Amino acid sequence: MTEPAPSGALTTGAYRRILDQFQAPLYRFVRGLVGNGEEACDLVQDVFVDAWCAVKREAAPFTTEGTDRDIRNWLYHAAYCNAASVLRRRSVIAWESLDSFGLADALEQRAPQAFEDRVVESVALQAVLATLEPADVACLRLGVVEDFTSVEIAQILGIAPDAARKRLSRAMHRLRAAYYAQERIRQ
Amino acid sequence: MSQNHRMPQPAPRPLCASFAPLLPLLSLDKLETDEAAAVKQHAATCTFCRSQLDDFDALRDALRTDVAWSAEAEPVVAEAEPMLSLEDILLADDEPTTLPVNRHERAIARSPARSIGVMNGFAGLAAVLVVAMLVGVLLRWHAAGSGAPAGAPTPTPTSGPTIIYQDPLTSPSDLLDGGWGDVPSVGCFFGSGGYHLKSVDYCLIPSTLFQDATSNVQDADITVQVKQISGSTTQLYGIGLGPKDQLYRFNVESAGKWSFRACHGANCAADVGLTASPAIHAGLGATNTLEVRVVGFHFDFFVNGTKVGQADDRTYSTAPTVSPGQIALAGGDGMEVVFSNLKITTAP
Repeated sequence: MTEPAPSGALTTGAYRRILDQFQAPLYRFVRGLVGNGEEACDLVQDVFVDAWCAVKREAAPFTTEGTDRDIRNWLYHAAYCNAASVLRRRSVIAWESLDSFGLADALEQRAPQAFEDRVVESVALQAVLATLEPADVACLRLGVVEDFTSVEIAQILGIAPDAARKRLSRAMHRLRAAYYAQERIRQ
Repeated sequence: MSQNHRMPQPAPRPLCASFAPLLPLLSLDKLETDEAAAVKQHAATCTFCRSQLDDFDALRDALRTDVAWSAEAEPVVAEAEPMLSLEDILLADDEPTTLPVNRHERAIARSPARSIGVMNGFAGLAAVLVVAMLVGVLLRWHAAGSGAPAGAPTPTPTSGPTIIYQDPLTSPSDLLDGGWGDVPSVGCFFGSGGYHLKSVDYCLIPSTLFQDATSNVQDADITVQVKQISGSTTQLYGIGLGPKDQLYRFNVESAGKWSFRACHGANCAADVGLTASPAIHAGLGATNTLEVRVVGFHFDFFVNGTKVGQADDRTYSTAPTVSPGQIALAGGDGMEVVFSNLKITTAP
């Protein structure tokens, strides 16, 4: 068996750089999943507290050998787990809120006032996203917006790479079907 | 984005069904080179798939544009973006040392202005139960971690094992599809008698099911029932744990033998080779209860309540941990095994 190469702990400065670099995109990702800015703030803070604990333990990938990509994957995985936990708890505790996941309600809540077509399209897109399963939304945000690879998406969601590809494909098909169905209604 | 759908949709061709799942992946540049070439070749001659591909391209662009634009256009979003400083994190990290509770509860305690909204009586009760369950785990974790802050309170010994996760494995228990992989085409699926692994090397236990999804737990115990229903009786199946560069597998075969293998990076060694044990119920269809107990660097292996062996691994300076997302049920090519009654606890 091979001995691993020695690795060192990250400095406080390096951790600060990670915090500055990743907190905004991580917040947008979590907010897209939980749909609530304040809750997303809390979850992101939790992720960075966990990351700080990992830095102190010199746990991978928070060592001098860990790459930015490894660290980014770790942070997104933790954030996804936190968001999934909140959504799961929300489904148990406040299951009446699932009723508001209907497309009509979502559109009503997000109805544009005096914006232009771009706003209408954005609102429609958000409304359609709200009708998808949270795991599908996570997959779309990771694969389309953040441009993670299938393997990275698999790591973040805790599933096999093949399953990540299938889910991403399925989510895009569902998004397409829901979006154009809604567009026909609008027209 | 809508122009295509004002036109009549072209009809699909027989081959389109097989290319349909690949179209969005081509649009997102998530295909291997040869796959992408095959899809492009088909789309070049197929109006239906070309039309779908255009839709996916438009949706992709809309999603990317929308995210960037929303950040600019919605002042509420911009204001809500967290501007965490290192000091915030250090302060938050100090707080839970005397109050080891669920991370979400900790966040609430940290920032009273931020509430999760709906928290009725049932929620409070559930939170109390979760806190009670996690106290033991967190105390052990803090005690074992080399980075425990100086002067941290000494954890009180717990009275018994704490359940980290328990599941009969009879159905997908997670609300999210990101839970148990119920994917027959991959070979990991729920079926008669439990969770089936068919011609697949392993199926991961989803990290999202753990109460504390980012913590590694040292000194843990994993128990699961398993039976082989097809394939050769000299094939191995069992429990795997650890990250990919520090992987351990406790396996049995239906011929009545067990083994333990440790992998460090690409180097795998059979630390304990195939060993016969009368404790193992032999034959296809026979159910065995497998148990791995990890305490520090030491592993104990049990089958049907009888200790069949042990091993130590001090290759790394840090002891192995039971980590969310890094525990697997293991099978093999050409065989089908069924797992049930999974239980993960802190070590007794």
